[in-house]
Amino acid sequence: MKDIIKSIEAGDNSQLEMLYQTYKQEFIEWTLKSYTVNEEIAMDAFQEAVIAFYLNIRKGKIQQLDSSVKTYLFAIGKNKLLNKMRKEQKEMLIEREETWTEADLSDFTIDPFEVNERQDYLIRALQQIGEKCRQLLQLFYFDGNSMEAISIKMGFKNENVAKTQKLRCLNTLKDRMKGK
Amino acid sequence: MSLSAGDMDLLDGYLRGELTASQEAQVEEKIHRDLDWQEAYAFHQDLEKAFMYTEGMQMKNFLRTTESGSADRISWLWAACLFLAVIAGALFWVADQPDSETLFQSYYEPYPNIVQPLNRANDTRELAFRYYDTQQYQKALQYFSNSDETVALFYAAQCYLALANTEKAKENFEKLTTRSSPYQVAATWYLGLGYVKTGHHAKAVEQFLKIENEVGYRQKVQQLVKALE
Repeated sequence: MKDIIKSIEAGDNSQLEMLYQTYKQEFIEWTLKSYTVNEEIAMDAFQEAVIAFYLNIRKGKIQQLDSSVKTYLFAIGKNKLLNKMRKEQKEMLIEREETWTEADLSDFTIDPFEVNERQDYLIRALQQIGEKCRQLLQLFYFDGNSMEAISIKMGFKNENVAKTQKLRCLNTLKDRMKGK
Repeated sequence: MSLSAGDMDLLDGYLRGELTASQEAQVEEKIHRDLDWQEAYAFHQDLEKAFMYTEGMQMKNFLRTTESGSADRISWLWAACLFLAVIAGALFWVADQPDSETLFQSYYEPYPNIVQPLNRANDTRELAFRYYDTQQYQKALQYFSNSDETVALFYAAQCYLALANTEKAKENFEKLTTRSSPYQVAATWYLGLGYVKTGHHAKAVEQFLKIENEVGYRQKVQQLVKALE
Protein backbone atom coordinates (compact mmCIF):
# COMPACT_ATOMS: atom_id res chain seq x y z
CA MET A 1 0.00 0.00 0.00
CA LYS A 2 2.78 2.45 0.90
CA ASP A 3 4.45 1.75 -2.44
CA ILE A 4 1.25 2.59 -4.29
CA ILE A 5 0.83 5.84 -2.38
CA LYS A 6 4.44 6.86 -2.93
CA SER A 7 4.32 6.11 -6.63
CA ILE A 8 1.10 8.08 -7.14
CA GLU A 9 2.43 11.02 -5.17
CA ALA A 10 5.49 10.97 -7.41
CA GLY A 11 3.26 11.05 -10.50
CA ASP A 12 3.88 7.44 -11.49
CA ASN A 13 0.61 5.63 -12.24
CA SER A 14 2.08 2.29 -13.28
CA GLN A 15 1.29 0.58 -9.97
CA LEU A 16 -2.27 1.81 -10.12
CA GLU A 17 -2.56 0.48 -13.67
CA MET A 18 -1.27 -2.87 -12.45
CA LEU A 19 -3.92 -2.95 -9.69
CA TYR A 20 -6.59 -2.11 -12.24
CA GLN A 21 -5.51 -4.86 -14.65
CA THR A 22 -5.05 -7.39 -11.85
CA TYR A 23 -8.54 -7.11 -10.37
CA LYS A 24 -10.69 -5.81 -13.21
CA GLN A 25 -11.72 -9.15 -14.67
CA GLU A 26 -12.56 -10.67 -11.31
CA PHE A 27 -14.75 -7.69 -10.46
CA ILE A 28 -16.54 -7.91 -13.81
CA GLU A 29 -17.17 -11.64 -13.41
CA TRP A 30 -18.50 -11.17 -9.90
CA THR A 31 -20.78 -8.34 -11.09
CA LEU A 32 -22.19 -10.36 -13.97
CA LYS A 33 -22.98 -13.24 -11.61
CA SER A 34 -24.68 -11.00 -9.06
CA TYR A 35 -26.53 -8.37 -11.09
CA THR A 36 -28.35 -7.95 -14.39
CA VAL A 37 -25.92 -5.55 -15.98
CA ASN A 38 -23.66 -5.78 -18.99
CA GLU A 39 -19.90 -5.93 -19.04
CA GLU A 40 -19.51 -2.30 -20.02
CA ILE A 41 -21.34 -1.06 -16.93
CA ALA A 42 -19.34 -3.40 -14.73
CA MET A 43 -16.09 -2.12 -16.22
CA ASP A 44 -17.20 1.52 -15.83
CA ALA A 45 -18.00 0.91 -12.17
CA PHE A 46 -14.60 -0.62 -11.53
CA GLN A 47 -12.82 2.18 -13.41
CA GLU A 48 -14.66 4.72 -11.28
CA ALA A 49 -13.64 2.83 -8.16
CA VAL A 50 -9.99 2.99 -9.16
CA ILE A 51 -10.36 6.70 -10.00
CA ALA A 52 -11.98 7.42 -6.61
CA PHE A 53 -9.18 5.54 -4.89
CA TYR A 54 -6.56 7.48 -6.88
CA LEU A 55 -8.14 10.89 -6.14
CA ASN A 56 -8.25 10.18 -2.42
CA ILE A 57 -4.60 9.23 -2.42
CA ARG A 58 -3.79 12.48 -4.26
CA LYS A 59 -5.71 14.43 -1.64
CA GLY A 60 -3.91 12.70 1.19
CA LYS A 61 -7.06 11.04 2.51
CA ILE A 62 -5.59 7.55 2.42
CA GLN A 63 -2.43 6.76 4.32
CA GLN A 64 -3.21 3.15 5.15
CA LEU A 65 -6.08 0.71 4.83
CA ASP A 66 -7.71 -1.61 7.38
CA SER A 67 -8.17 -4.32 4.76
CA SER A 68 -6.54 -5.11 1.44
CA VAL A 69 -6.55 -2.76 -1.54
CA LYS A 70 -8.63 -5.34 -3.41
CA THR A 71 -11.27 -5.31 -0.66
CA TYR A 72 -11.49 -1.54 -0.85
CA LEU A 73 -11.65 -1.41 -4.62
CA PHE A 74 -14.39 -4.03 -4.72
CA ALA A 75 -16.39 -2.30 -2.02
CA ILE A 76 -16.18 1.05 -3.82
CA GLY A 77 -16.87 -0.62 -7.16
CA LYS A 78 -20.01 -2.24 -5.78
CA ASN A 79 -21.15 1.11 -4.44
CA LYS A 80 -20.56 2.76 -7.83
CA LEU A 81 -22.38 -0.06 -9.57
CA LEU A 82 -25.44 0.22 -7.34
CA ASN A 83 -25.54 3.98 -7.94
CA LYS A 84 -25.47 3.44 -11.69
CA MET A 85 -28.22 0.89 -11.45
CA ARG A 86 -30.35 3.13 -9.27
CA LYS A 87 -29.95 5.87 -11.84
CA GLU A 88 -31.05 3.55 -14.59
CA GLN A 89 -33.77 2.00 -12.35
CA LYS A 90 -32.72 -1.49 -13.15
CA GLU A 91 -34.00 -4.39 -11.13
CA MET A 92 -31.34 -6.34 -9.33
CA LEU A 93 -30.90 -10.05 -9.02
CA ILE A 94 -30.66 -11.34 -5.51
CA GLU A 95 -27.29 -10.35 -4.10
CA ARG A 96 -24.98 -13.16 -3.27
CA GLU A 97 -23.42 -13.27 0.18
CA GLU A 98 -20.11 -11.49 0.03
CA THR A 99 -17.21 -11.72 2.38
CA TRP A 100 -15.78 -8.28 1.69
CA THR A 101 -16.05 -5.83 4.53
CA GLU A 102 -18.15 -2.79 3.83
CA ALA A 103 -15.59 -0.15 4.60
CA ASP A 104 -16.45 3.43 5.43
CA LEU A 105 -17.15 4.63 1.92
CA SER A 106 -18.02 8.22 2.70
CA ASP A 107 -14.87 9.49 1.05
CA PHE A 108 -15.57 7.50 -2.10
CA THR A 109 -19.23 8.21 -2.68
CA ILE A 110 -18.72 11.68 -4.15
CA ASP A 111 -18.83 11.48 -7.93
CA PRO A 112 -15.90 13.54 -9.28
CA PHE A 113 -17.64 13.81 -12.66
CA GLU A 114 -20.89 15.25 -11.36
CA VAL A 115 -20.43 18.99 -11.57
CA ASN A 116 -22.93 21.83 -11.49
CA GLU A 117 -22.96 24.61 -14.05
CA ARG A 118 -20.76 26.93 -12.03
CA GLN A 119 -18.15 24.22 -11.58
CA ASP A 120 -18.36 23.33 -15.28
CA TYR A 121 -17.72 26.96 -16.08
CA LEU A 122 -14.80 27.08 -13.68
CA ILE A 123 -13.29 23.98 -15.29
CA ARG A 124 -13.30 25.75 -18.65
CA ALA A 125 -11.99 29.01 -17.21
CA LEU A 126 -9.08 27.09 -15.66
CA GLN A 127 -8.07 25.98 -19.14
CA GLN A 128 -7.64 29.62 -20.09
CA ILE A 129 -5.34 30.92 -17.38
CA GLY A 130 -2.12 29.30 -18.59
CA GLU A 131 -0.34 26.15 -17.51
CA LYS A 132 1.79 27.71 -14.73
CA CYS A 133 -1.18 29.31 -12.99
CA ARG A 134 -3.22 26.14 -13.31
CA GLN A 135 -0.41 24.05 -11.89
CA LEU A 136 0.12 26.42 -8.97
CA LEU A 137 -3.56 26.52 -8.06
CA GLN A 138 -3.84 22.74 -8.40
CA LEU A 139 -0.82 22.14 -6.17
CA PHE A 140 -2.36 24.36 -3.53
CA TYR A 141 -6.10 23.69 -3.74
CA PHE A 142 -6.11 20.06 -4.80
CA ASP A 143 -2.82 18.51 -3.74
CA GLY A 144 -2.71 20.55 -0.53
CA ASN A 145 0.94 21.55 -0.90
CA SER A 146 2.29 24.27 1.35
CA MET A 147 3.52 27.50 -0.25
CA GLU A 148 7.04 26.48 0.68
CA ALA A 149 6.70 23.17 -1.17
CA ILE A 150 5.14 24.96 -4.14
CA SER A 151 7.95 27.51 -4.29
CA ILE A 152 10.46 24.64 -4.48
CA LYS A 153 8.49 22.60 -7.04
CA MET A 154 7.84 25.56 -9.30
CA GLY A 155 11.17 27.29 -8.92
CA PHE A 156 10.01 30.47 -7.17
CA LYS A 157 12.58 32.47 -5.24
CA ASN A 158 10.76 31.94 -1.95
CA GLU A 159 7.40 31.34 -0.28
CA ASN A 160 6.34 34.98 -0.49
CA VAL A 161 6.89 35.10 -4.23
CA ALA A 162 4.78 31.94 -4.56
CA LYS A 163 2.02 33.55 -2.47
CA THR A 164 1.99 36.67 -4.62
CA GLN A 165 1.85 34.56 -7.76
CA LYS A 166 -1.05 32.55 -6.33
CA LEU A 167 -3.00 35.74 -5.72
CA ARG A 168 -2.30 36.90 -9.29
CA CYS A 169 -3.47 33.56 -10.67
CA LEU A 170 -6.69 33.71 -8.66
CA ASN A 171 -7.36 37.22 -9.97
CA THR A 172 -6.68 36.04 -13.52
CA LEU A 173 -9.14 33.21 -13.01
CA LYS A 174 -11.71 35.62 -11.60
CA ASP A 175 -11.28 37.84 -14.67
CA ARG A 176 -11.73 34.90 -17.04
CA MET A 177 -14.92 33.98 -15.27
CA LYS A 178 -16.19 37.50 -15.78
CA GLY A 179 -15.37 37.23 -19.45
CA LYS A 180 -12.46 39.66 -19.37
CA MET B 1 -14.76 37.11 -3.99
CA SER B 2 -13.13 40.21 -2.44
CA LEU B 3 -11.41 39.14 0.74
CA SER B 4 -8.15 40.80 1.73
CA ALA B 5 -4.95 38.80 1.32
CA GLY B 6 -4.88 38.22 5.07
CA ASP B 7 -8.47 36.94 5.11
CA MET B 8 -7.73 34.65 2.19
CA ASP B 9 -4.80 33.18 4.14
CA LEU B 10 -7.16 32.63 7.05
CA LEU B 11 -9.73 30.92 4.82
CA ASP B 12 -7.03 28.76 3.27
CA GLY B 13 -5.87 27.76 6.74
CA TYR B 14 -9.43 26.89 7.70
CA LEU B 15 -9.97 24.72 4.63
CA ARG B 16 -6.75 22.88 5.33
CA GLY B 17 -7.53 22.30 9.01
CA GLU B 18 -4.52 24.33 10.13
CA LEU B 19 -6.24 26.77 12.49
CA THR B 20 -6.73 26.66 16.23
CA ALA B 21 -10.22 25.92 17.57
CA SER B 22 -10.91 29.59 18.32
CA GLN B 23 -9.68 30.69 14.86
CA GLU B 24 -11.92 28.08 13.28
CA ALA B 25 -14.90 29.37 15.23
CA GLN B 26 -14.04 32.89 14.09
CA VAL B 27 -13.93 31.87 10.43
CA GLU B 28 -17.18 29.91 10.69
CA GLU B 29 -18.86 32.96 12.15
CA LYS B 30 -17.58 35.10 9.28
CA ILE B 31 -18.79 32.58 6.71
CA HIS B 32 -22.16 32.48 8.39
CA ARG B 33 -22.59 36.26 8.47
CA ASP B 34 -20.57 37.81 5.67
CA LEU B 35 -21.48 37.50 1.98
CA ASP B 36 -17.87 38.00 0.81
CA TRP B 37 -16.77 35.14 3.02
CA GLN B 38 -19.61 32.94 1.81
CA GLU B 39 -18.69 33.58 -1.82
CA ALA B 40 -15.01 32.98 -1.19
CA TYR B 41 -15.75 29.74 0.67
CA ALA B 42 -18.07 28.52 -2.12
CA PHE B 43 -15.48 29.48 -4.73
CA HIS B 44 -12.76 27.49 -3.00
CA GLN B 45 -15.07 24.46 -2.77
CA ASP B 46 -15.85 24.79 -6.47
CA LEU B 47 -12.15 25.10 -7.29
CA GLU B 48 -11.35 21.89 -5.47
CA LYS B 49 -14.21 20.15 -7.29
CA ALA B 50 -13.00 21.49 -10.63
CA PHE B 51 -9.54 20.02 -10.07
CA MET B 52 -11.06 16.76 -8.88
CA TYR B 53 -12.95 16.59 -12.16
CA THR B 54 -9.95 17.30 -14.38
CA GLU B 55 -7.65 14.91 -12.51
CA GLY B 56 -10.37 12.26 -12.53
CA MET B 57 -10.82 12.69 -16.30
CA GLN B 58 -7.09 12.32 -16.88
CA MET B 59 -7.04 9.08 -14.92
CA LYS B 60 -10.15 7.87 -16.76
CA ASN B 61 -8.45 8.50 -20.12
CA PHE B 62 -5.30 6.79 -18.86
CA LEU B 63 -7.25 3.67 -17.85
CA ARG B 64 -9.13 3.68 -21.14
CA THR B 65 -5.92 3.66 -23.14
CA THR B 66 -5.05 0.42 -21.38
CA GLU B 67 -8.24 -1.04 -22.82
CA SER B 68 -7.28 -0.46 -26.46
CA GLY B 69 -7.13 -4.15 -27.29
CA SER B 70 -10.67 -4.87 -26.19
CA ALA B 71 -11.79 -1.49 -27.56
CA ASP B 72 -10.91 -2.62 -31.10
CA ARG B 73 -13.14 -5.66 -30.65
CA ILE B 74 -15.97 -3.52 -29.27
CA SER B 75 -15.57 -1.04 -32.15
CA TRP B 76 -16.02 -3.84 -34.67
CA LEU B 77 -19.17 -5.05 -32.91
CA TRP B 78 -20.57 -1.51 -32.79
CA ALA B 79 -19.83 -1.03 -36.49
CA ALA B 80 -21.72 -4.25 -37.26
CA CYS B 81 -24.68 -3.18 -35.08
CA LEU B 82 -24.76 0.25 -36.67
CA PHE B 83 -24.81 -1.27 -40.15
CA LEU B 84 -27.77 -3.47 -39.22
CA ALA B 85 -29.54 -0.52 -37.59
CA VAL B 86 -29.14 1.59 -40.74
CA ILE B 87 -30.61 -1.20 -42.88
CA ALA B 88 -33.51 -1.65 -40.44
CA GLY B 89 -34.07 2.09 -40.31
CA ALA B 90 -34.21 2.37 -44.09
CA LEU B 91 -36.81 -0.41 -44.24
CA PHE B 92 -39.02 0.98 -41.47
CA TRP B 93 -38.55 4.77 -41.94
CA VAL B 94 -41.63 6.83 -41.02
CA ALA B 95 -42.06 10.26 -42.55
CA ASP B 96 -43.20 12.28 -39.54
CA GLN B 97 -40.88 15.07 -38.32
CA PRO B 98 -40.40 15.78 -34.59
CA ASP B 99 -42.31 18.84 -33.42
CA SER B 100 -39.67 21.63 -33.19
CA GLU B 101 -41.33 23.80 -30.57
CA THR B 102 -42.10 20.87 -28.27
CA LEU B 103 -38.55 19.59 -28.60
CA PHE B 104 -37.14 23.03 -27.92
CA GLN B 105 -39.27 23.47 -24.80
CA SER B 106 -38.27 20.04 -23.54
CA TYR B 107 -34.60 20.95 -23.50
CA TYR B 108 -34.54 24.70 -23.04
CA GLU B 109 -33.85 26.40 -19.74
CA PRO B 110 -32.24 29.80 -19.23
CA TYR B 111 -28.57 29.67 -18.32
CA PRO B 112 -28.13 30.62 -14.67
CA ASN B 113 -26.35 33.78 -13.56
CA ILE B 114 -22.97 32.58 -12.41
CA VAL B 115 -21.22 35.92 -12.64
CA GLN B 116 -22.82 38.21 -10.10
CA PRO B 117 -24.31 37.45 -6.69
CA LEU B 118 -28.01 38.31 -6.47
CA ASN B 119 -27.90 40.38 -3.33
CA ARG B 120 -25.82 43.32 -4.44
CA ALA B 121 -26.65 45.82 -7.19
CA ASN B 122 -24.17 48.63 -6.99
CA ASP B 123 -23.52 49.31 -10.64
CA THR B 124 -25.16 48.96 -14.05
CA ARG B 125 -23.77 45.51 -14.75
CA GLU B 126 -24.85 44.14 -11.42
CA LEU B 127 -28.28 45.71 -11.95
CA ALA B 128 -28.50 43.98 -15.32
CA PHE B 129 -27.86 40.65 -13.65
CA ARG B 130 -30.44 41.40 -11.01
CA TYR B 131 -32.98 42.00 -13.81
CA TYR B 132 -31.83 38.80 -15.48
CA ASP B 133 -32.25 36.77 -12.29
CA THR B 134 -35.80 38.08 -11.86
CA GLN B 135 -36.69 37.33 -15.50
CA GLN B 136 -36.97 41.02 -16.44
CA TYR B 137 -35.20 40.25 -19.70
CA GLN B 138 -36.13 43.42 -21.57
CA LYS B 139 -34.57 45.57 -18.83
CA ALA B 140 -31.52 43.31 -18.61
CA LEU B 141 -31.07 43.70 -22.36
CA GLN B 142 -30.71 47.45 -22.01
CA TYR B 143 -27.27 46.80 -20.54
CA PHE B 144 -26.26 43.53 -22.17
CA SER B 145 -27.08 44.57 -25.74
CA ASN B 146 -24.78 47.61 -25.50
CA SER B 147 -21.59 45.69 -25.06
CA ASP B 148 -19.51 43.34 -27.18
CA GLU B 149 -17.92 41.81 -24.09
CA THR B 150 -18.25 38.03 -24.06
CA VAL B 151 -20.34 37.90 -20.88
CA ALA B 152 -22.70 40.59 -22.16
CA LEU B 153 -23.08 38.88 -25.58
CA PHE B 154 -23.89 35.59 -23.88
CA TYR B 155 -26.47 36.94 -21.46
CA ALA B 156 -27.99 39.18 -24.13
CA ALA B 157 -28.45 36.05 -26.21
CA GLN B 158 -30.09 34.37 -23.22
CA CYS B 159 -32.46 37.33 -22.90
CA TYR B 160 -33.32 37.23 -26.61
CA LEU B 161 -34.02 33.51 -26.40
CA ALA B 162 -36.24 33.95 -23.35
CA LEU B 163 -38.12 36.70 -25.19
CA ALA B 164 -38.55 34.42 -28.23
CA ASN B 165 -36.33 36.64 -30.41
CA THR B 166 -34.59 33.53 -31.68
CA GLU B 167 -32.81 35.10 -34.67
CA LYS B 168 -31.04 37.71 -32.51
CA ALA B 169 -30.21 35.02 -29.97
CA LYS B 170 -28.70 32.80 -32.67
CA GLU B 171 -26.68 35.75 -34.00
CA ASN B 172 -25.00 36.26 -30.61
CA PHE B 173 -24.50 32.56 -29.91
CA GLU B 174 -22.95 32.15 -33.37
CA LYS B 175 -20.33 34.78 -32.50
CA LEU B 176 -19.58 33.08 -29.20
CA THR B 177 -19.11 29.63 -30.74
CA THR B 178 -16.02 30.93 -32.51
CA ARG B 179 -14.70 32.91 -29.56
CA SER B 180 -12.48 30.98 -27.16
CA SER B 181 -14.07 31.54 -23.77
CA PRO B 182 -15.65 29.57 -20.93
CA TYR B 183 -19.02 30.23 -22.66
CA GLN B 184 -18.08 28.60 -25.94
CA VAL B 185 -19.59 25.17 -25.24
CA ALA B 186 -22.77 26.54 -23.68
CA ALA B 187 -23.15 28.94 -26.64
CA THR B 188 -22.88 25.99 -29.04
CA TRP B 189 -25.60 24.16 -27.13
CA TYR B 190 -27.94 27.15 -27.19
CA LEU B 191 -27.21 27.83 -30.87
CA GLY B 192 -28.27 24.24 -31.50
CA LEU B 193 -31.45 24.82 -29.51
CA GLY B 194 -32.09 27.97 -31.52
CA TYR B 195 -31.90 25.92 -34.72
CA VAL B 196 -34.29 23.38 -33.20
CA LYS B 197 -36.78 26.16 -32.47
CA THR B 198 -36.59 27.52 -36.00
CA GLY B 199 -36.97 24.02 -37.47
CA HIS B 200 -33.42 23.73 -38.89
CA HIS B 201 -32.81 20.27 -37.56
CA ALA B 202 -29.73 19.40 -39.59
CA LYS B 203 -27.98 22.58 -38.47
CA ALA B 204 -29.03 21.86 -34.90
CA VAL B 205 -27.50 18.39 -35.04
CA GLU B 206 -24.31 19.86 -36.51
CA GLN B 207 -23.91 22.09 -33.46
CA PHE B 208 -24.80 19.41 -30.93
CA LEU B 209 -22.30 16.95 -32.35
CA LYS B 210 -19.54 19.48 -31.72
CA ILE B 211 -20.13 19.20 -27.99
CA GLU B 212 -21.27 15.62 -27.59
CA ASN B 213 -18.29 14.73 -25.41
CA GLU B 214 -18.33 17.81 -23.24
CA VAL B 215 -19.02 17.48 -19.54
CA GLY B 216 -22.73 17.72 -18.71
CA TYR B 217 -23.84 17.57 -22.34
CA ARG B 218 -23.28 14.00 -23.42
CA GLN B 219 -26.59 12.52 -22.35
CA LYS B 220 -28.81 15.37 -23.47
CA VAL B 221 -26.99 15.68 -26.81
CA GLN B 222 -27.45 11.96 -27.44
CA GLN B 223 -31.15 12.12 -26.59
CA LEU B 224 -31.81 15.26 -28.60
CA VAL B 225 -29.86 14.16 -31.68
CA LYS B 226 -31.77 10.87 -31.58
CA ALA B 227 -35.07 12.75 -31.42
CA LEU B 228 -34.05 14.99 -34.32
CA GLU B 229 -32.85 12.17 -36.52
